[in-house]
Amino acid sequence: MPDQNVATVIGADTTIKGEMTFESTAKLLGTIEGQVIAKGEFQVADGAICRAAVEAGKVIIDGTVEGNVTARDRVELSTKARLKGDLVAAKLVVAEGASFVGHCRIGPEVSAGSNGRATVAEAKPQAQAERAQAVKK
Amino acid sequence: MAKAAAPRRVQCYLCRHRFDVSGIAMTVSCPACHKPLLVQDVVVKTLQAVKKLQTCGSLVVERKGRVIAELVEAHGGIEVRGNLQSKTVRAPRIRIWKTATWKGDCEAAVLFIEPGATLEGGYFTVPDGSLGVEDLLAADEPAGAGKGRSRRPAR
Repeated sequence: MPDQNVATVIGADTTIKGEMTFESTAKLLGTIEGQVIAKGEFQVADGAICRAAVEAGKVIIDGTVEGNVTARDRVELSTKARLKGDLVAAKLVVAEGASFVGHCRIGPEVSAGSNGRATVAEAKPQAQAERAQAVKK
Repeated sequence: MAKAAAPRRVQCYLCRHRFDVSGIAMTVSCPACHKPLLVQDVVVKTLQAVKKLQTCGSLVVERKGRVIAELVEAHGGIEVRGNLQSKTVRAPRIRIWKTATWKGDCEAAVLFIEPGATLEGGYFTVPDGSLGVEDLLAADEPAGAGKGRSRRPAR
């Protein structure tokens, strides 16, 4: 029976290359390469491969994601999740067994003050500035 | 008379050699590299600002605890309920509770993050193969103060 909450489903035998925008919720069962922008929830199912920069309200990962992930609300990594890329979100849930390699910034102020992508890059200079201030004091 | 605690298996955080120690041991010398090692579980309840915080046991940063260090390594696992600020944090199991604030790089075989935790940047490598703790992890139970003590060594 199809999931009533998911508006768009990308099937397991589908490969899409390019930029995709979803107005509400989307579920990936196949493969995506490029960029994904979803205003609602974006789910990467078990076995699905997402080689794309993802921007969404909520991201749920059960499969493989290679690319930067930005979520306004939260990111969930399940036991089978594989994430390789930088992560910016207000909330992060990582289940035991999930794999994650990349920079990470989590917190309410992280997502509130930005549209995502820039904050990870800003992380290092900000930390360096704080360190420099501490040395001066 | 008090019953003697069962011996437990630990891994040297300097040379990665594995050996058995008494359950009540707090510090030992590594039989391979002959360096002194801390094997007791560490619980941080206040501010602890050090260069290196390394133990073969577990590390628990309590809710009001704060650790500021360059290197934090606990081969029995790390639980963070308070504030942990370190250049590198390394453990087979790391659990970040919802009350925790984290800053720094993370190298772990297993990571668990509760929703609500604040992560102020850092490079995460999960799972991390450099620890070489796969077989320890298999027999291990979730990280926690004192829990590792009951573990019996594989013979």
